[in-house]
Amino acid sequence: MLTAYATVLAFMLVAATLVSGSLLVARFVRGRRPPTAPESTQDVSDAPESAPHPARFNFDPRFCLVAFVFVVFDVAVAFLVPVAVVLKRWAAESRGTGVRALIEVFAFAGVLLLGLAYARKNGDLEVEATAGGASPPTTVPSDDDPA
Amino acid sequence: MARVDIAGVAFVALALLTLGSAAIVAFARSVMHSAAGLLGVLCGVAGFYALLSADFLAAVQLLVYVGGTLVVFLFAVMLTLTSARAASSNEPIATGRRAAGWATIALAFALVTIALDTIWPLGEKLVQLPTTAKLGHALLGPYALPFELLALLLLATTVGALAIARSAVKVGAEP
Amino acid sequence: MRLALHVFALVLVSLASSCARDAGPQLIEVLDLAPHEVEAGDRVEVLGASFPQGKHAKMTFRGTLHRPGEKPESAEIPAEGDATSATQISIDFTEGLQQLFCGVGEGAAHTTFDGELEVSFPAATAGAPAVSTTLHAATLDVRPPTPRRAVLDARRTEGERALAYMGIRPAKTSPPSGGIVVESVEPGSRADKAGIQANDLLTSLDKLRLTSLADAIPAGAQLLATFTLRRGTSPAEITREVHIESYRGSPPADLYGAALLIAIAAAVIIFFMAPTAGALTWVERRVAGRMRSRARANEAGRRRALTWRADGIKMLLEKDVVPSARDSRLFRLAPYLVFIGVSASFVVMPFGQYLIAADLDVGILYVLAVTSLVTVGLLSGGWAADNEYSLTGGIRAAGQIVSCQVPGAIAVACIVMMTGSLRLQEIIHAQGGWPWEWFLFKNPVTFATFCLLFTTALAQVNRAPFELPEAESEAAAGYATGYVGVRYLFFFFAEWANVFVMCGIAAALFMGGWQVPGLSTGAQEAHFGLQLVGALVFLAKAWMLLALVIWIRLTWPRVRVERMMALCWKRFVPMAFAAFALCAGWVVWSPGRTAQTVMGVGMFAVFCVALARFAQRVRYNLHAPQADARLNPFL
Repeated sequence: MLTAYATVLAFMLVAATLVSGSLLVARFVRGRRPPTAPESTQDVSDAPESAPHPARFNFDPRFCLVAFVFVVFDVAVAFLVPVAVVLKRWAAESRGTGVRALIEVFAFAGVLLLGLAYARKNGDLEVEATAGGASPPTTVPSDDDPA
Repeated sequence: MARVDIAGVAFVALALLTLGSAAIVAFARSVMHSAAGLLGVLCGVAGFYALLSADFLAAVQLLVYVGGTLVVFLFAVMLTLTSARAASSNEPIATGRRAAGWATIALAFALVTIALDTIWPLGEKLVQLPTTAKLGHALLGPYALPFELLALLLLATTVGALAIARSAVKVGAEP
Repeated sequence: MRLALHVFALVLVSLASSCARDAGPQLIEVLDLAPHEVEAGDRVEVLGASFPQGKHAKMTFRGTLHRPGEKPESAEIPAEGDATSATQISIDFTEGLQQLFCGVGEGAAHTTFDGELEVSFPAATAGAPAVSTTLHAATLDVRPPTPRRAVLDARRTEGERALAYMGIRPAKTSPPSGGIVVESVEPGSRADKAGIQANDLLTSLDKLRLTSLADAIPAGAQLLATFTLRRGTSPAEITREVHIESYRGSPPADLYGAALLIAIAAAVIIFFMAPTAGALTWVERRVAGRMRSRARANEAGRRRALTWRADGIKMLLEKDVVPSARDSRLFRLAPYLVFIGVSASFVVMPFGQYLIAADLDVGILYVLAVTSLVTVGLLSGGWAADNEYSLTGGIRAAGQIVSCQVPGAIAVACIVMMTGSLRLQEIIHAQGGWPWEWFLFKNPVTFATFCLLFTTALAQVNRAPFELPEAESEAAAGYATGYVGVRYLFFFFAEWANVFVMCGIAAALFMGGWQVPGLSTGAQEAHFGLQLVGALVFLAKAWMLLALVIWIRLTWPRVRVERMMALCWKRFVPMAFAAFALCAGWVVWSPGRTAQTVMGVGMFAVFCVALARFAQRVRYNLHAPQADARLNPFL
């Protein structure tokens, strides 16, 4: 089994090497040229009024709430996975053990869904585009060139 | 051809990764750098789990800690800090440095002495085996009650976190 | 005076002789141990002579313990027993004793002890020294409690491997008295050079008695493996030494193994992942051009196939800008995280029956875990570029990924439930070659699960219609706005590769992976050529799904991130749990084989009919000039 994880490590190392190698190659291929353009990522042609401002994300703090609920459900999924793995064996053993396992799983999932219902009822999962702003139209037609 | 113990090398490398990242978490000036260090620590620990044949735990460590906890942390930081404030958000405290230094040295000395002098009992030889099925059987069998109680615990966590955060959201609704 | 001394001496001598006479057994003798093979709960008899009957004896086993795969270990093990007669001492072989010999827990192994056994009785009169003697050639073979099936299988495989390394082919059955029968010896192999012949009965390896294949594991750090064997009908034991200098235990304990792994990794990443991602961009442009009925742009190469390579070279040549503001370290780190996360998921890609880099036991869970690295990378990248657009893009992307991960993971858990394992190869084995044997058409619930997984996976890889975080018309390039050149390339390279991973995993989970219709896995196992056919079939299925992904992108309008997140939490998660519950019910009350096949064929038939109607409708829409595009294509 250690070999398997050594493979994982090998893949990660090769990926990291590829990225750094490409960057090195790019540097050599480019040659040395003094930078002529400003290093800021803000558009140079901006009018003075829209001078670059320190980026703040005016977004709904509910993103954080979503992340909390995600962590809870992630842990729940992490526990459901080993149960899912052995359910088939429990079902094969006898009808009784299968039903017992089923009831345990349903109880677990049911309790979790109560939490989700609570969150939903209180509108915690309704993340808004801009804090306190009205929502713009739902969909936007995509007609641009695929890059 | 060298006879290299790959598991030993991996252990040392993971230890360096974990401890180095932990140092970054502690000493970095920017909270975001600390978060990146935390990523290193969590990945290192996941690696240790894999070395110790706890493969399921390694995957869950990445899934829940890196994918969940670290993401929550990053969201929280990004929501509240501007870039200017973020760069120096983790400044070390100026007072009490010397006392802290001496305490650290004393503690380090004590720990090293303990580590070297204790006769550590050797554990049984590790057999590399998968663990997911064992956990599943345990969760459905002997540990069924903790499994269900865990669901209740998660429910409590959800409700509690949302209740606390919701009031904070309402209070601090202005960006 | 002299007379008194004489009398005194006489009294002393008589006293001494009478003491000596009452000193109990003069000499005890130990001859043998029986039986030679023991387990916990057995009784070991020490045979000998002149034992004081009824007395309690203390014994010590002093010698070496031989275990399979381990270096011989010297040990001193105390034991106790009672003398049941003048010629026998009975030792109760307790579990504690067994553990002392064999080891504890999962490492417990069949052990052979050889050394000496010291037996000592307390003296008859108090104060006199104990009477003891030693048996010099004591051997004892101790069997541990039967370990777990997995441990036994692992050891057996290792034993087979070791024997195969030496060129010995063991017989399938072993004689009841133990030992391994050699069925054949490869000519020119190490065993052949050592003088082992077919039909030999191998009785011990390095002093460890062989009772099964699980015992035939040399310690590994030695030059010679010493076998004792019996040839023909003669009971004499012959010794043969086999050279095993380069025998290695399972993990790559040397640099060759590590180099091999790196080579495999490099081959997969550089020769598969990169061209696939590039080809994907090309395919999408071509398809987009046709679907949108517009002229294709000036592109390089015949059939414009060189465009993506030209793009790559252009990226290389671009000036590498690292923005001065915000966070240059995180800026550099983010592409690494994203790319490493995606590359790592190629480890469990089941290309063929044995064409998988590593069939991890936590297979599919590992894929889910590793995409967390991508999430963190996107967030860091979005933050680091000090740009409103990139931060927006990063947070939205992360929010979308995070929301859609839960229903996706539960959908995967449904399939895991139906298979009983997380391993990708086992999930594929649980399906068949024909479409009605796929999980996709097994029952309506799994079909719904597939749709759920596909949709949430699309959102997780930020592909249309969920690509707002990085759509060109929206927020510049989303989280990758601040990036130029090679770093930008890697973000999108990773995204395309991620799309392939998603389709490949979906093909493996739902569409039977490398299983070829009409070809059984046994037949595939036998011929490597058929395995390649399986690999091609897998790629074909993955590309079918990729075509679907591209088609969806070019057809449907984008969905706002916030709406997608709400949709995930409010609709998808309950749906996923419902599907999970239904699948659990299916697993517990599973219908018989015929019912399953009927349902599978039925589902597939319905699907084909629906597809045919859909194609009909599309044709109609294409040809009829006044066709109303909003008509339901299924009517």
